[in-house]
Amino acid sequence: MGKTTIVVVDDSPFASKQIKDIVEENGYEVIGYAKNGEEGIKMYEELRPDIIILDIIMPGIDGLETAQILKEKDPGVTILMLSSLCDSGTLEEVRAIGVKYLIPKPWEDDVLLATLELLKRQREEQLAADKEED
Amino acid sequence: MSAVKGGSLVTDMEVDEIFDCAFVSVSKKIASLNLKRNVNRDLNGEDSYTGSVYTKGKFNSLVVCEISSDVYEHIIYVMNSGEPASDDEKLLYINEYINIVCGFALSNISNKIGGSSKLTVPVFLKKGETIREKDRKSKHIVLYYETDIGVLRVTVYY
Repeated sequence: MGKTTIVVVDDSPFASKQIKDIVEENGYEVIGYAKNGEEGIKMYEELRPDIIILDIIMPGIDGLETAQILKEKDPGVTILMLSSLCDSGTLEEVRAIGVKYLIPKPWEDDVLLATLELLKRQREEQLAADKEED
Repeated sequence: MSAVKGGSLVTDMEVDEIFDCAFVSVSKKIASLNLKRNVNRDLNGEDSYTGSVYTKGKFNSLVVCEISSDVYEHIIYVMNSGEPASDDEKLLYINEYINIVCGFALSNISNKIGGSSKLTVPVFLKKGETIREKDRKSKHIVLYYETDIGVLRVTVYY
């Protein structure tokens, strides 16, 4: 099985670079960066990554709206959200869209990696279940 | 004494403490910057950069960060792992710094008052540009910090 692929959608080069460094050291492959929601949606459709890491506060359409659009286009999309805004109200909004995990910025690397590992496993289990049904 | 649109209250002292905690802890974590609080002073004559961000929702405010040029360069240097950055990239790094610090503070305020607020994308003021008078609300707190390399002053209008 190949590496788990990731697209990062964040207007900050700091976040994109930090994510790339930490995840690529740990067996993931970042296959694309988008600086805003519009670019992120386009990139998701073109590259079909296993996981999309999505910031909330961005120019143009924000991460919440981007996640909503992605979920409408592909209910099976695996999204991990990152944001400096991590209050309970924001978490409720994230969950209402159907995204399970929101990691606070600045993040702890081990939390980011553990959450990615969890998403990867859940995704693999879902794909296996879908295959069995077929 | 307190400020929130409906619902629970947050005192001026709590707003001060929450923003102070956010600036001190997050600056240390992402920019290796040790901020020491001091009494407010003017940045007169000091070469500085000014960024601002609004919070909208249950807690409405305008946060203005004045950062002396040495501190500005230091934050970018650390966040960019010591690599050079173009002027455009520098703004993105500083915007992210302001975004993370203010988001951290706003999340704590939101949890305290039991209601959510949004943060706008930070905007940098050009030289000579000032905050609009209508944005200057009557109540504000000022956080003035010194570091080994320069100063940072934060004003929260709410």
